Amino acid sequence: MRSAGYLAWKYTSAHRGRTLILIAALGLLLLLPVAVTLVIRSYDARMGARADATPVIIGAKGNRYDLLLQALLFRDGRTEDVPFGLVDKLETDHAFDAYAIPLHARHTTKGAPVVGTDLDGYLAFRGLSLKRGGTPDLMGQAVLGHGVAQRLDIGVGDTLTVDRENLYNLAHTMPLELDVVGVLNPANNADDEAVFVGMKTAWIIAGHGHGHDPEAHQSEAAHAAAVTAIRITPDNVDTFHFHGDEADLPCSAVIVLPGTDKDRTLITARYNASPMYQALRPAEVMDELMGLVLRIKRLFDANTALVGLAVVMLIGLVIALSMRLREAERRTLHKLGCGRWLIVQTQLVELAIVLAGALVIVALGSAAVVLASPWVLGV
Amino acid sequence: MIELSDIAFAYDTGGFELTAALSIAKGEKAAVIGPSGSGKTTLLHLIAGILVPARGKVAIDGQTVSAMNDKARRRLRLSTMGLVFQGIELVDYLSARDNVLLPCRLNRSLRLDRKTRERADALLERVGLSEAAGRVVSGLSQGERQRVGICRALITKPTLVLADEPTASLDNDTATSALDLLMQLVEEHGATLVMLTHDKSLLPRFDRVVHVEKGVVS
Repeated sequence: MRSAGYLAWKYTSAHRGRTLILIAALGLLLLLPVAVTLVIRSYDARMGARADATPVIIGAKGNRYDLLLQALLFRDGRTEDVPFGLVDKLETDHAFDAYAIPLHARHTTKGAPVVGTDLDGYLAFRGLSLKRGGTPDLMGQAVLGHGVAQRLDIGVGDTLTVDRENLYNLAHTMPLELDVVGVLNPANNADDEAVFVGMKTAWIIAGHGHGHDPEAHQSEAAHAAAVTAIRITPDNVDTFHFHGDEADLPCSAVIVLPGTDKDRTLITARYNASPMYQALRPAEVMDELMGLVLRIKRLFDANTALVGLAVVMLIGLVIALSMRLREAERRTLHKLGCGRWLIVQTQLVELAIVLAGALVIVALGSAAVVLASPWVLGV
Repeated sequence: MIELSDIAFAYDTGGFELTAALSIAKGEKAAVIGPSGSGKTTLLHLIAGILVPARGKVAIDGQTVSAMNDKARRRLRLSTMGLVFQGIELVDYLSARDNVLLPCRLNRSLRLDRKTRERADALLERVGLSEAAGRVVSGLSQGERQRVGICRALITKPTLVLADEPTASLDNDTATSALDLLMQLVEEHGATLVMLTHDKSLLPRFDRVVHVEKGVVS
């Protein structure tokens, strides 16, 4: 075995390029299904935990998967708005006991979702704590998730401008500049990648409220040309106001925390019967979603198996050709006094070296996938 | 002592038959000459136990090689013989030094220690290949490769050296020095040498000459 190991090592070292190509081909082939499985498991675990921790979500009638992703991951899908008055309605309904947390996640800043919510209620519900700074006490202030703060390298005292929806729409409301007043501790979920603001700030971003800058009256044209973002300061905060009834202002979803299981049943039954709303039990919808993902994964696995079979056949061909090319070497070793078994052993060890290299790729790739999956999936 | 009695050998493909009766004494240096295709290499392979005769007996130092199984014959080759092949036959992906040391790696009873490595380097130095010792043999010239083959045959201090035209691919000077080395080392160890050659000018350096003609050894 020692001789076989020696010859195999020398052979693979002498044919580094060929060996590395084989290792890479086999490694990538093995990594692909492993990586997909790991990503799905990670997604399932993280999303499952978040869904399990969220008793009920109420939103506008429509695609329930969109509503789930909107409320749990702050993905702005095709969901319709529901009125903010729903929060009050849920909390004051005598038929059940519930606490409601509004969400408004329609905008982004530097790619991160800007989530308008009842900040104290949301942070307490999700068990989020502040690493630095405090919670907003003025419109226009924001608290950053740990991941956003790290990724953008910003902290308390810095500012962030909300992304413009349409650069060429001059009539559109100017983007709001947010003052960062706090940074959250890591949560290892979608909250890390969000920028949290109060509901009123979210509505101002969405153009449902506005302020009047006294300086703007002096030279409106010059002011419009120079100012690229709205900033709310203690001096102008009082000029910001909303037209119409606050209860009619929009939410993208409402997280409901029922007092009991019975309350939950009552809430979901009532709101699912409504023509305007739908009430989700996130864990159930998540199971459906994962079922769909797993069905797709089975197709992917079948495809991978076929590709794998093709690659294994190609590797078999490479080995067979290599054996033919090395026939002279086999004869020489035999003439010198080497058994046929040593030749077979040598090739098996060579295969083991290739396999070991491929497994190293799988191990490193899997570790990278595990580390990167929360960032890639945004969960 | 090498003893071939009443040997008959034919390849499966047919068309060639070798008959031989030959005795070479211990320590004797025998040259085997004959035209191409006469059966010289076949004779050498029968002595080495690489081929097995259909009839007759091949014995080396009293051991009947022709009656041994493949494993025993291989062991005998590794432990007592040094072989130089006509087609050089090195392991292409090994360095010159590693090729020389190969029989020591393949033979479990031999130790691959510092002394053996030094001996390999000394052998390579004596054939003018000390600078090429670490180079992979696929990059060496035919002559250099043949010299590596000679060193490989001598590394285990064999009692029987079987050489198949070892100087055929060498220029005159290198051929002379390689043959000098072969002769010298064989004499140093009191080994028996059986060497095939076409070069009749080398024959005076041998104790005896064996003729092979159309498969008949005389």
